[in-house]
Amino acid sequence: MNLSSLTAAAKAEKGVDFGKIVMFGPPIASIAVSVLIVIFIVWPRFSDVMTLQKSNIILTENADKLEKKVTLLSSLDESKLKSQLIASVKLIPSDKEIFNFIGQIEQTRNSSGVAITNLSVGSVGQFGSGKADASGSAPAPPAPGAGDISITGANEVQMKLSVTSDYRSVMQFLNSVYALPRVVLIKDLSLSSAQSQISSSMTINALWAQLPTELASIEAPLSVLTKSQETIIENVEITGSSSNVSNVVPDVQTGRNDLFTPFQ
Amino acid sequence: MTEINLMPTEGKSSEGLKKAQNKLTIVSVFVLVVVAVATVATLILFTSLKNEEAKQKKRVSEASTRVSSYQTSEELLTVVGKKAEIADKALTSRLRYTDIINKVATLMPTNVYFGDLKIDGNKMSTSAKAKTSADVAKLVSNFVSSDEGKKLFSSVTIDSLASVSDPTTNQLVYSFSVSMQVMDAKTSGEEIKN
Repeated sequence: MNLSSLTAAAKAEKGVDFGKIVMFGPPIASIAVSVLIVIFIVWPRFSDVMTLQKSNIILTENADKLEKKVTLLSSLDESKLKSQLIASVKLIPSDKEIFNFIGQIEQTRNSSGVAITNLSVGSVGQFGSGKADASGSAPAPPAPGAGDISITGANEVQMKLSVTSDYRSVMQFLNSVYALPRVVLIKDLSLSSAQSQISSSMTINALWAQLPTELASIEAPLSVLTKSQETIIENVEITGSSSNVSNVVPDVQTGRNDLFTPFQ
Repeated sequence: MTEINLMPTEGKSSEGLKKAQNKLTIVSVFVLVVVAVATVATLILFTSLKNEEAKQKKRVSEASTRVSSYQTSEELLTVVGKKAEIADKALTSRLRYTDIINKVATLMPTNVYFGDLKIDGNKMSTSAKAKTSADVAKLVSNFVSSDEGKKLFSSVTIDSLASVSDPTTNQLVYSFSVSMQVMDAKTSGEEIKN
């Protein structure tokens, strides 16, 4: 047997196998490179593209909002805003301004001619003025903090008040209280008649709100005053009154001008 | 006629390999081209989006600077707006008792008068005197059935009714107490104003 010819055949077979591998190398390598490019370049960039697209939409919206805000702000009249600020502070002061409130009520009393028999204010009932009624029982001052109930986003100073006068004067007083430049809410109104005199007790809540401590974010849209808000501010600026309340009791068609006058 | 393949087995297998190599080469070229196109497209898109981002950032920055230059106006508007909003809410929702009382006066028959009147929130109650039972009925009817009464009160209840001697006239009169539920300010207030 010729062993050398057998060895040569085996070597030739190995050469064929190696040749086969070399033959498939370049396409496999190119596919491998393609996969690596996809994994390390295309896919990360594609993710970036997706993120960029989203962030660009947000950026465009923000830019639009800011440009609108600039347009709005540039159209505002600063001097008008300053006078509106003065009026709005009259409507809703930035602190309790209790003595100013008492002063306004006393002015209203003077102009309407009623007599205040009792007056106590919010958590400072010890500053109550006026005399006790005939029975000597003054209305209890509101509990401490009772006047600081937040409604409509504002705080309240609570005044408990008793007045005496004739019907028209009491009505005039109530109308004048509603017409105060400061926003007040009258609650628990009680009227009773005795010998052509009307005794009335009520709770008057005067609103106040602290100044905002910081502006909203720069992208936050600005809200301009609505028509009704502008009207309220104009009322205070022009007439010094928070609302248009007629101080005259209207004529009564059915014949009674006074709810409490006995039959004539 | 039957085809006779006289090629040796080794020749056949090397031809098969060659075909497979060709196919693989085509596939690899195709994949390479697709990847190249995808890469170029992604990079172009990325670059254009980056440019867009830079453009929008510039817009935001410029607009922010301009907004900052109007800070005083913005502060003024914020404060005025906040206070005006509170005032508007409070004035819109408040019941003006004087308007209610004036309206009640127009609905009252002449032979009826009130001894006292209490308004607590939306609830109103009164004790009154009337010359005749017809006057009481007329008062309740005005409150319940008339157009103006309907706008003013959502319910009217007579809590008590008795005939008594009126101390001022010494005549027999009807003493009664009535309680009413006042419509809220949005319903009654606007209509009262009108």
